[in-house]
Order: sequence, then structure tokens, then C-alpha cells
Amino acid sequence: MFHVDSASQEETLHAILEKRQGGPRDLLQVLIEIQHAFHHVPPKVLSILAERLQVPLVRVKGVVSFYSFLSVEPQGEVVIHFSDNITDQMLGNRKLASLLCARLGVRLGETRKDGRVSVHLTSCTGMCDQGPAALVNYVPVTRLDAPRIEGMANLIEAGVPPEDWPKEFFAVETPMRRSDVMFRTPMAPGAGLRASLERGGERLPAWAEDLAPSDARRHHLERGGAETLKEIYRSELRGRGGAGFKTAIKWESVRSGEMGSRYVLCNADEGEPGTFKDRVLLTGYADTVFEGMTICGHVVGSKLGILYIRQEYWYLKQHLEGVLSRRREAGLLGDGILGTDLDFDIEIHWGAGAYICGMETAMIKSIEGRRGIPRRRWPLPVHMGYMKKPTVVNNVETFAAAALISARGGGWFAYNGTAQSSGTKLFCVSGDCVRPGVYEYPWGVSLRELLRDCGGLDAQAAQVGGPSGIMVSRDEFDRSICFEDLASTGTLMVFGPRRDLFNVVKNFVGFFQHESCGLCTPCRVGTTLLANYVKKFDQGCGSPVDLGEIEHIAKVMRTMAHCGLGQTANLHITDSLRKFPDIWNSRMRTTRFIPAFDLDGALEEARELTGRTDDAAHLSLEEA
Amino acid sequence: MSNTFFLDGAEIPFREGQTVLQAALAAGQYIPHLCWRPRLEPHSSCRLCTVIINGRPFSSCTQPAMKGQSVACDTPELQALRRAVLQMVFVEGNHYCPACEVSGNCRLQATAYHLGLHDNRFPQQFPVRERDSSHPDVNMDRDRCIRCETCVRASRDLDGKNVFGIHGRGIHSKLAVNSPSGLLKDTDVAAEDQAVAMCPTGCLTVKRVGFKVPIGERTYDMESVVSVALKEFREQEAAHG
Amino acid sequence: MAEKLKIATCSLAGCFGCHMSFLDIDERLIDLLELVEFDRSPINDIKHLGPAVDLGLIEGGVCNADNVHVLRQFRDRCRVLVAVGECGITGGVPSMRNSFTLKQCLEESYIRGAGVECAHIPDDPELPLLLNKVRPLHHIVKIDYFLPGCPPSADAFWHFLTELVAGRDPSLPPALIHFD
Ligand SMILES: Cc1cc2nc3c(=O)[nH]c(=O)nc-3n(C[C@H](O)[C@H](O)[C@H](O)COP(=O)(O)O)c2cc1C
Ligand code: SF4
Ligand code: SF4
Ligand code: SF4
Ligand code: SF4
Ligand code: FES
Repeated sequence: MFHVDSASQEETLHAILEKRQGGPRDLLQVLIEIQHAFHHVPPKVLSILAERLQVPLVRVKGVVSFYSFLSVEPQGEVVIHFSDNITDQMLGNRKLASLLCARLGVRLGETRKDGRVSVHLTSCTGMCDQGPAALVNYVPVTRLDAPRIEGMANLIEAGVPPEDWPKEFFAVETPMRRSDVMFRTPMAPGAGLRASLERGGERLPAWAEDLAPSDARRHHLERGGAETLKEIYRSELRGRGGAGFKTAIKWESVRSGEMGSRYVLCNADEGEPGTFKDRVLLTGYADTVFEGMTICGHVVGSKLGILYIRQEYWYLKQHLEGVLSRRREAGLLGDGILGTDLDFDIEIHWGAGAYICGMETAMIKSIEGRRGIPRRRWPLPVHMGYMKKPTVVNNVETFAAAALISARGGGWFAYNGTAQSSGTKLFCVSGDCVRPGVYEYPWGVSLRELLRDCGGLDAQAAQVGGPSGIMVSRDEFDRSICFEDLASTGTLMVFGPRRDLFNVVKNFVGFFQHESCGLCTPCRVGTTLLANYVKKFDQGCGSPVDLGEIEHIAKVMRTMAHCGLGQTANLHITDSLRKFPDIWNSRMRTTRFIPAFDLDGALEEARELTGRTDDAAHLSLEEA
Repeated sequence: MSNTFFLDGAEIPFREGQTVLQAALAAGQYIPHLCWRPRLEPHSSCRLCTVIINGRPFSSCTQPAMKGQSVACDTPELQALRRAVLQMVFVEGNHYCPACEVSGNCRLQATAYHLGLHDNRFPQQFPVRERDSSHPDVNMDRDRCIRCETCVRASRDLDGKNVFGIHGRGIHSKLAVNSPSGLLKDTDVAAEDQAVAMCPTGCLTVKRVGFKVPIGERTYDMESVVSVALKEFREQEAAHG
Repeated sequence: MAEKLKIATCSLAGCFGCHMSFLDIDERLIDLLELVEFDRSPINDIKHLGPAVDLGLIEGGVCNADNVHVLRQFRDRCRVLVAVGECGITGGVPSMRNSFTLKQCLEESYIRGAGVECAHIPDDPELPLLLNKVRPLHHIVKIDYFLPGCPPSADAFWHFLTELVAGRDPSLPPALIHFD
């Protein structure tokens, strides 16, 4: 295994630190590289980083312990993370994980003694359309089955490094099953940007020529892109990341914000289980996404954009860096874009396994190299965001749409959709259907149409918008997906007629418990209390009293939690209680109160210590 | 004419830049709060200060006061939700009040009295947490820590030290200290630190002073949390503006 | 005169401090007896619980199998069941052992601890077995009301009982709530 003191390690560490300016903001990115190089973050390195990056040691450790993909315990040379979304579970991921563990002689969640391999579960890796999936040294392996597991086990035992494994193991498909106006015809790189620059917008009007260079009005007026902003207004584009905020209003707030730097952040955290459209966009349409960011930079007057992307998509690193350097060469990025005085560049920052980092203020903290804890709600990022400067945060798809709107016009975009939800939208379909993948539809499409097209019409239920969204039953299939009815990030998980929906609840409740950041009490404690109640029902020991408690906890979380995670982490439970009461009722033993813990089991320790086995040494679940 | 808003119907004046909570306290109106303290950045974690503005919940310690808005605070429904959040605090840790040296001087406990907490309702979690008695003058009993990060902020911003931090995530997050050993004795904490003085629970205490004040004469035997919080606010305003 | 309310009390994993405090209502006890009569209680030394009781007051948490049986019997036979004192409500001081395993506790008491003579963990079948953790009452049965304090003051008892007997919400005003 690795020793921190070895010369070669010293060298690696220096090489990693060399590339950076060495400020606190580098912490997370440096830690990720160290984790990849050393398969853990050695304790000695923690102190070195604290010193070099001028961050108190307690905060360095705070960051390492926050992110799932960082660890102070040494991991194996091959680290495997099985994706554990409900869709993976429905495809038998747990059995495959056990199979691999058995073959390798390692326990789930642990590292083999010889340091060869570690096997873990992780939250959804965004491969739900081709699961069951796993990450092998942070690179996805899809469509797992017993033979592939067998093959992996053999390669690991033979000491073949994952870089040399057969290429087909790592094949990732990006099926765009249906495309509509946005993605039917690809946009030539630069088309949106050129349109934006040609539209120009207000240059400094004559009256403002005399304003002092530091005058905020001058600064504001000097910004180009006013006409492009008008197109975005005209398109009525709303954010694709969940909250559905009007993109133009957001851009304008930043554009008219106070003097000084401002930033453009692209949210590619895509942590909502069942969601993988951003992956598909960043694979096939990265140019369009980066172009949207650049146009935003033009409109709001920013020089720097950052793509914050989940580490589950590490395999896209080379590809994305390649696209960025091609764009720089083509004059679409960097200084003096397309021969104008517009400067804008894009950096990539990686996440490290934390769903909450998709929440915009948590993401900002993560980019600043800190624990991804949502910040206080006010002031908003558009006023005080990254580095305390005005900041646009938009989803990947929002930026792609903005680029297309710039190229094709706001009216073109707004032609589709409904009154409150303009344009078309990408939907990620997975679960029990014939054709999982990404579908583009105008907003307002009915659930039934989507289900028909993907071959999932016999479903008994569907989860719209991921675990934080809405669980719908068959009699709601005629509802339409749009902000007016079923709002959604574009995620649809389909559950066939023979599925036990309680497993869905179990999966989701565990997900939220694992991903709660822990800042606020209602969510930190509430997610755990809910998970415990679900476990109680799972053991067949539920009671009506518990149902009342569950509803009560859900209500507390909805009103009192600090951010969207806690506010929505309970919806799947209350939805399922309302729409699928049988999955709960069938797990109730009596109508009376039942303890939340195993009473007889609570005597086991005493039985062992005393060796007693008589009748009085046992307790029944209920009094006879 | 100065700016005002309405808190449960009462007209409250405010200065530009004040939060709803600050303006309320300045006007002598108490809104329950635990993680917010004068002179510290708001933290938004305890959620007790949640109020309803235009039908939506906001933490009043972070929400800027705005002219004319009407804020609901002391409603039976909100008080019940606050009680529930406090009950979550109590079941999450281990609070043996009868055996705790800050009992009677404890903000958390006094806030629970104020909100009429009779019981913990939810299943106690009985977590096993590490205590740290390594320091000669300061004791740390994580059983009582509510992760309000008052100590983290006070140490950083008032003591200029960075003694405290949080490790882990979610229900497993815990209070940690700034030393390679992870022990308090190897940090530069001192008994006089604001971080220790401001802890709203018995997690951080100065050694050898517990139980000195007889029952009946402790802070919250004599006063409610309402008057203590209002007094603290007035004093800090007078001293620091 | 209306029929008197039947009250039963008992102490599980507690110290009888709550019962002592109850008796501290002093002469008001006489007023109370106008309204209620006692069934099983350490106060009158009646050992068996009657079949139908109006109000059960339980001091102490649940630390062993016998506590569980008694508590369940109270629940079955009492119309209204009250957890009295911190031990009953949270586990209280006895639950401080929950930070340790039962093995650690018993070995400390009966094997390694100071002054232990014939080291042996008691295993007599007459003794109730200990639960691995001390539990508050509401973990095991449904509890209707909670009377906090360690112990609740005599005034708290008085307020609680008179309000309850009068058919009102017996919640304590903040000044009477104490956790110590
Ligand atoms: C718990 C949580 C997770 C989120 N995850 C994502 C995400 O993965 N991607 C995303 O774009 N937005 C996510 N959001 C929404 C963002 O906070 C933010 O609203 C969005 O990125 C803004 O971009 P938009 O206006 O383009 O939608 C999340 C929000 C919450 C509360
Ligand atoms: S709601 Fe949950 S995720 Fe959001 S701040 Fe609170 S604890 Fe963190
Ligand atoms: S810290 Fe406060 S609430 Fe917790 S045990 Fe001590 S006195 Fe009770
Ligand atoms: S030690 Fe005290 S101040 Fe610090 S987080 Fe815990 S309860 Fe809050
Ligand atoms: S609550 Fe206090 S007084 Fe009552 S039994 Fe428990 S320790 Fe004794
Ligand atoms: S005081 Fe506002 S959240 Fe704690």
C-alpha cells in the first residue's frame, strides 16, 4: 500500500499542487486528484494541504468527510461503486454486487485485506437507461450481468488495471429516442454566439460617454447582449434544473448587478436519481452547452464560466476538455472571442459524490472548495454568489436551450409548450419500459403519451421528477407534464404491474437519509426518523399510530427544512400513503401500538451474558 | 416616515439591512431562535425562527425585513412545528438534563420551556458519541451538541482562532476540533473564548464551575428565555451598534 | 356525588422521587381525595392493578422485562396513561447507561468494579432480564400525557391532576415545566 513518506508520493503530491495557485478554493479539486492518485487521502497529506492552501486542518477534514468519493481510509487499487438507484435494484444490482463480493472475498462497503479491491454502493450514477451500472475507479461500467461480473472478478484477481480492461465494458450509450425542435437539427458551433454578437445590443450611448469609468451606470450600459437578452425574454425560457425560474430575469439581475466581476455557473451535478439528460447533452451537444454559457457571459458581462460536474461523469473529462480547447482554437472561447473585445473562458470543477451539491448555493460552496452546505437563502446568488459576486446558475439544458434561442430566436422557442411552460424539454425515461432513454417533447405532453412511446403503458405507477418529485398512479396518466401540472426536472421512472412499490419508498427514503447535508434539524433528523419508520414497516411491524407520526414528520420537514432537499424528501412517502395505501397496510401487524424496536431482541445481550433461556427471558411483540 | 412591517399584526419599525428577527428583537418582540446570535453570521440551521410571509415559510434570522410585509410568527401551527423541531433536537442527542451541569442555564432547555415542550415524542436515537475531557479547562460533551455551529462561528469570527468545525454529513455529522489528534487539548481553545461562552447547550463548558449556582437561582429559574434573549440583544446593540 | 376517578401509580426504572414529590402536594392531597381514589400504588401498598382504572401515572423508564409487563398491564387497564418525570419521558438518569453496552455495565458492576467479591453476573430466573437499553415509556406503549420534571414539582402535579380531572387540557404553563 501507499506510504505518505515515499519519495514518489511526495512527487505526485507536488505535481498536483504545482498546477494550482494554492488558495483555499483549490481544496476540493486537489483532494479529488489526491484520492485518485493515492486511492485515499493520507492523514499526513491533510496537514500538508492545510498548510499549503491556508485552510485550518479541521476544515480540510470537514471537506474530506463530507464527500462520498473522498476517504481517509485506504481504498483498493480498484474501487467499485455499484449504482444503487431503484432502477438498478429492479435490474438486480444487489445480487450482482453480492456475486462480485463473493467472488473476490470482500465484504460490501469494505476493502480487501491485500488492498486489491474495494466494493461500495453509491447513489444513482446516471446510467439508469443502461443499468445495472457501477463505477470502476470512477469510470462507469454499464449493463452489468453475471458474465460481466465474472469477467471483472477475473481481471481484478489477475491484477489487470481497469485502464486495460476490454473497451466494451465501458461503453456508454446516449440514446436520444425522440428529438423535437431543439435537438432534431444540431446547431453549428458558434452559430448562437455569432447571432448574439451580431445582435450586439446597446453599446455605450453618447450621453454616457462622460461618465467616470467607475460609474456603475457606465458599466451596466457597456454590456452588450441586450438584444439577446430580449430574445431570451421572448422565449419565456424557464430553468430546466427544477425550480423553473425565468432565465431572462436571472440573467438580467446579474447583468444589472453592481460593478465588478460576475460569474456564470453551469450546474451539471445531475444528482436526482433517474436523471441523465445532462450526461447525454454533455456527450453529444457539449458545444451547444458551452456556447450557452458563453452567450450568458456576453449578456451579463462575465469573463469566467465554470462547469460543475458530478464525478460520476469523470469519463467525460477528456471529451469535455477537448471540446473546450477546440472552441478556444476556433475563437469561440478565450480572449477576443470571434475578433470582438469579448473575453470569456470556461473551467471545469468536479463534484465528489454529494447530491446536495446540485442545490445552487451548495454548489457554489463546493466550487469554493468547501463542504457543500446550502447557504442562507438571502442574498440570492444573482446578488451574491460565487466569490460573493453576482452569479448566474443554470442547468446544462437551460444553457443549451439559451444557445439555440440565440441562434433561432425566442419566438421559435416559445412556439411550443404551454402557457406557463414554453418550449420543449428533455425527459429521461428508465425503469420498466421497452425503450429507456432521453426523449424531447414539448412541455404539456401527457404522461400517457410518454409511457406509450417508451413502451411502458402497463405501468402501475411512475415517479415524475425523481425521488423529490411526484409519485403518480395509473389514474393520473392523463395528467400533463409542465409547470402548471406535473412539474419535473424531466425524470420519469416507470414501475411495472408486478413491482412492490414499497421497495421504491425504501430506496428513496434511504437515498435522502444518505444525502441530507446535516445542516438543519428537520431534515437531518427527519430523514432518519422516516427511514426508521419505513424499516419498521419493512419488518412487518407497522401500526396506524406510526402512520400518523410519519405524516407529522413529513409536515414538519415540508415547512421547516432549510432547502429543497428536506422540503421534498418526504413527498414520496405521503404520495404513496395516499395513492398506494396497501403497500403500507399490508405491513401492519395490528391496529395497536407496536414498539419501534425489537423488544425480544433487546433481551438478547442479557440472555447471552446470563446464559438464560427460560420463558421469562423472552418478550413477545404484543402482550398475550 | 420610517419603514415598518407587521409582526402578528403589530407594527415593527426597521432599518435598511435588518432581518425580520433583528427588527423584531429591537422592537422588544421575541421570535424563538437558537442558532442566531448577535454579532455572528446567521446560520439557518435550527429553523426555530421560521415565520410565514405571504404564505411561505422563511427563517426570520436571514430574511430581510421589507416594508409593509405581514409576518405570522406566534400562531398555534408554527409553535407546534417549532416544538416538533426541538423534539427532533432532543431525540437526536442524549440530553440528561437532571445530570447536566448547565441545566437551568441552558438556552436549549429554556427555549424548550418557552415552547411548552413536555416530551420528546419521537423515538430517542440514543447515539453513542465521543466525549472529550482532554483539555484542562474546557469540557466537550458531544451528547449535548445540536450542531448549531455557534462555536464554529464564534471561534472564527470573534476569537480569531478556528478551533471548531463539523465533520461528516447528515445525521452522522459531528463537532470536531482543529488538531491533528482531534483532541481539544491540542487546540488553542481557552476557557475565556466566546466559542465556549456562547454554546447554547452543555456541550462546551468550562471545567470546575458547574453546579455552583443553587437550583432556584440559575439564569432560567429567574427569567425566561424571552427576557434573556431580548436583554442580550439590547446589550450587544449598545456595545457594537 | 359523581363516582370518583380511579388512579393507579407505579415506579419502574425510577427512584421514587416523583412519588415523593407527588406527596409534597401536602394538604391538597385531602382535596384530591375528594375527587379520586387510589388503586394500585406504592402510596397505599396495593400490589395488584384493578381491572379498570381511569388514570395511570408511571414513574421511571423501562429497563427490564418485568417493567415491560407492568407497563403493558397498565396500558391495558388504564383509560389514560401518563408518563411522569424525566425517567418515564426520556429514560432519564438510568438511561445514561445507554452509552455503554450491557456487557460493559454488568462487568463493571459484578466482575471488575471496585469491591466486587465473588465475581458473577446474576442469572437467577427470578430476576427480570435487563434490556440492552433503558427506554422511555412511549417507546413501548402509547402514552397519553407527559408530566415533565425530575421530579415534577408538587405544583406541577397539582396543576396537572386538577386540570385533567376537570376534563381540561392538563399541559403545564412554561413556568411549571422543568426537565430537572
Ligand atoms: C437538493 C437539490 C438538488 C438539486 N440538484 C440539481 C441538479 O443536479 N442540477 C440542476 O441543474 N439543478 C439542481 N437543483 C436546482 C438548483 O438549485 C438550481 O435551481 C438550478 O440549478 C438553477 O438552474 P435553472 O434555473 O437553469 O434550472 C437542485 C436543487 C435542490 C434543492
Ligand atoms: S434541508 Fe437537508 S439538505 Fe437542505 S440544508 Fe437542511 S439538512 Fe441540508
Ligand atoms: S445541554 Fe441543556 S438540554 Fe441538554 S442536557 Fe444539558 S441542560 Fe438539558
Ligand atoms: S458545541 Fe455548542 S455551539 Fe458548538 S455546535 Fe455544538 S451546541 Fe452548537
Ligand atoms: S424523574 Fe427524577 S425523580 Fe422521577 S424517578 Fe426519575 S430520577 Fe427520580
Ligand atoms: S435562528 Fe434562524 S434558523 Fe436558527
